[in-house]
Amino acid sequence: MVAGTVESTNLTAPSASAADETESPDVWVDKYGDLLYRTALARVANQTVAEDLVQEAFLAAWKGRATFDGRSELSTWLVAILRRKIADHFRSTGRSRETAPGDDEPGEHDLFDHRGVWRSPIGKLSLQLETPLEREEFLHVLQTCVQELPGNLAQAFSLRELKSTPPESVCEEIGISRQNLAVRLHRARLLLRSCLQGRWLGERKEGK
Amino acid sequence: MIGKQVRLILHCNCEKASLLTSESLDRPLSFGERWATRLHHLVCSHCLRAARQVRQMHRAIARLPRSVRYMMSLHSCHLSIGARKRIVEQMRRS
Repeated sequence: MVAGTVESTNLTAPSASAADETESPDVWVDKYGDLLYRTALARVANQTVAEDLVQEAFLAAWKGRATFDGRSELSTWLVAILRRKIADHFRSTGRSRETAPGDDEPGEHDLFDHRGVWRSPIGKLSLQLETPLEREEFLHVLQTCVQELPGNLAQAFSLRELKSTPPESVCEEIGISRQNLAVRLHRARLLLRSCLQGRWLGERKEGK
Repeated sequence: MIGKQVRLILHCNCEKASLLTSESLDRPLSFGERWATRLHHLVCSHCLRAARQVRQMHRAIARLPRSVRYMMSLHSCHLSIGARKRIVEQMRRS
C-alpha cells in the first residue's frame, strides 16, 4: 500500500550517502507506518492521538535523516524517535500513562467499584439481528464503538474478535501475557457492550 | 487444589464472574471457574444479563462475513490510508 506517487521519489533532494530507497517518504511510511502506529497505539488513548504521534515522529526523522548513521536499523531508529515523541506527549498532558487501563492492577475502576460490583446497572440489549437493515445498523454502530475503544484495547479486540486470531498468537503479536490479554479483552467487551447499548440497539428494542 | 476451587466459588464477585465469562470465549474454563460463574449468576441478575449480552455480541460479530470483520479491524492495527497520504505530503513539504 504505497500512498502517493512513485515519480515523486525523484523530487526529494538526493543525498550523497544514502541509497534511493531510504530517501523516499513513500517508502518510509509504507514500510514502517504500521510498525510505528502499533507502537503508538499500545501507549496512547486513541487512534487519532496515535496517528498524530506517528506523523510527528516521521517528520522529525525526515528532517534529521542526515544524522541517521546507518549503524542501527532504520526501524529501530524510527521507533526510538517515536518513543521520545510519546514521552513528550505524556509530559505535555501531565500524565505518565494515558490509557493502558487494561494493564493496571484493579484497572476496571469505571466499570466496577472497589468490591467488584457493577458501578452502573446493566441495561437491556438485544442483538437478534433479523432484518438486513438491522444488520447494517449493527455494523455501523459496532464500527463506531470499536473506534472509540482505547488504542490498546481496540488492538487486542480487533486481533482476537475481528481477525479471529488464537489468543496465544495475539499475546505474541502485541507482546503481552495471557493474563494481561484476558483483562484487556474483558474490558474491551464490556465497553463495547455498553457502547452498543447506548447507541440505538438497546433502546430501540426496549421501545418496541 | 479443591480448596482453591472452593475459594474461587465462594469469593466470586461481579468483576470476577464477568472476567470469567469473557475468558470463556477464549479458552475452556476449569470446573471451579464454571461453577463460580454459574452460582454467581443465580444470585446476580445483572451479571447474568451482562454475560448473555457479551456472548450474544461475540456471536453476532463472529457471524459477520470475514471480509467485513477484516475491514473493520484495519483501522485498529494499520495506519489508515488517509494518515499515510497526509504524512507523506508533510514530509515532502518539510
